[in-house]
Amino acid sequence: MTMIAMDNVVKRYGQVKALDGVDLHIEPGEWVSIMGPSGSGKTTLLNMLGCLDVPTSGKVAIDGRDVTQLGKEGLAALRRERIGFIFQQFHLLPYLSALENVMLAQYFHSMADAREATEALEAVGMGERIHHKPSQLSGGEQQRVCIARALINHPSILLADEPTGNLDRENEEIVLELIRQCHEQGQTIVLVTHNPEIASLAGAVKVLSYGRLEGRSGSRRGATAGGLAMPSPRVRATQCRADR
Amino acid sequence: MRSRHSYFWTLLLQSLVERRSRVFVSLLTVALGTSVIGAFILLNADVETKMSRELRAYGANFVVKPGVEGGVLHDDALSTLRELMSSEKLVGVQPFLYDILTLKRDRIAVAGIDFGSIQQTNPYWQLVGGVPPPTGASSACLLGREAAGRLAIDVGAEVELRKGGATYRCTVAALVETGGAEDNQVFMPIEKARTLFGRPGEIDLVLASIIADQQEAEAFAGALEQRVPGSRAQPIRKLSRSEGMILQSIRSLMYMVVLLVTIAAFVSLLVSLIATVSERRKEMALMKALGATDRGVSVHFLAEIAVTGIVGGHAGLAIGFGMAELMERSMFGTAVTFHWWLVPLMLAVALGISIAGAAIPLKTVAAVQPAVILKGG
Repeated sequence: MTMIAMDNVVKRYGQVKALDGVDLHIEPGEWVSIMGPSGSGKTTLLNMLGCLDVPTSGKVAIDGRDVTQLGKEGLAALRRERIGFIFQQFHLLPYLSALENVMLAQYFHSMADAREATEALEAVGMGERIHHKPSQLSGGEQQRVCIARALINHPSILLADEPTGNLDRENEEIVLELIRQCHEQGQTIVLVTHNPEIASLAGAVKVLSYGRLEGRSGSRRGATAGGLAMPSPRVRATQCRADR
Repeated sequence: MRSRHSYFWTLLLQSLVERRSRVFVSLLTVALGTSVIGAFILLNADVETKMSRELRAYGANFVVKPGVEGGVLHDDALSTLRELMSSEKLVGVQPFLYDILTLKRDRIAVAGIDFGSIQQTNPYWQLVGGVPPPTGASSACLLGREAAGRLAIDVGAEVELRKGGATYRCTVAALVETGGAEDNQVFMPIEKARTLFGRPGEIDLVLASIIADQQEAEAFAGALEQRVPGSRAQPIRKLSRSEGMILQSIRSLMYMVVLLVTIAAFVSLLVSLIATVSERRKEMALMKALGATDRGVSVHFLAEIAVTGIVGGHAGLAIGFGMAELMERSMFGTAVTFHWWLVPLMLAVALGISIAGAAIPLKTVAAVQPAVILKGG
């Protein structure tokens, strides 16, 4: 079954058409990058995929479920069961530790489990910093916590919105390596970026322009794509698992 | 930790600690509002009784007299009065038996009374030159000041009161000054008066000082009239009406203050919570992005507000009790009576103010759109 199916999706905000008849089909285990300049509708598209927003017209199906038929509660349920978010601005709660931030996603899903959350943080190389607050972590470390949080409930789809937009080169490599490892383990990934180098890490690259999607194949260059160095040996394989 | 509940408390407490300054302000607002309401309730429960007791310093507020012109009462009026009114509420009882006797060739009104009850029922009597004689003092009397001046009689002088062929000799223990009719009267022990007047067991009038509100006093009067046929009992209207008016004024003022303070507390809390919810929109958006429903997010914030309300309520109860104690000691010189039912009531009031204050801000939870708020770059 197609993991993500968007058919003729239109999204309007007043007079502005953010998405204009978008068709997008993503199979399980695929990594698709969405590129486009600012204002092209990338975040809107991601919000559709993440069930944070619904189209004005058209159809969006996530793992076979038509999201346009779901109410607020149904969309919330789909988000917690199927979707993992990685935000450009991390969005960690400042008063919770790294461990507690990861447990927050568990809490809304089912049950907070400190042991499982610790393992998730260890998997992204944050095992030594689980009790640190976000203010005590670097940008890269915060983004790794964000990745652990996104993956803790074993989502079907990982959505990353400019995940390295606020990171320096070194941390960018670490984060991208983690995402790459997730993909190798079968995770379906949609990554939004304006950086062609990063986009080209995916199996397919789509370009969004004035709300319209144009597809082009990406060359998946793996870990050494575009001049990115090999990951630091201290980062272990993630515990990404594609949805059952 | 592997538990939904323990994480819930972790999230709750960490959030409260993070925003401790704002939480403290909300807590203080709830505490102040609750304290005023609590103090009012405590004072209101006590004020009528205690004010009545205070006003007994102005003398008797209840009268029992014969129901018909020329009628008399007897000792059963006194005993029934004491029986019907508890000792806590019956401050004092003063019987009066009157006649006109001769003193130094002058005709003068003489009243037989109970010297021991002067302090309770006639506290406004100024006793000049001496102290009230004890109840059993059979050869003592009190003389009105004006009469003493007119008849040139001093304290300590022995006087002779005559009626027909009967004579009563007594020593003037003190002069009475009230500014009223008492200044021209003589007072003697009622048992001696009964003998001298030839009216054994009779009473012309009873004055009593009781601690009761208007309703209680009226009920007491009715019960007494039923038990003592031929009697007429009633509160002294002028005094009880004034008492009632003072009490009503005090209560009206208290109600107004409580209402204003409650409104102020509610508005203050509302403003604080609106600001808090507005500041935390990103947090709400994140929770929704992670799969929380509107209800789930609301419950979380409501729990924070409820904790503030409960803690604020306890603090308010303590402060309110302190305020009531202070006011009661300064007004009446007594301790406030604490009622345990006030505890759950005040906590309910505190929670009510808190949750009511949260009702409007929490409506914005549903309006939070994660897509808009969490938009990156």
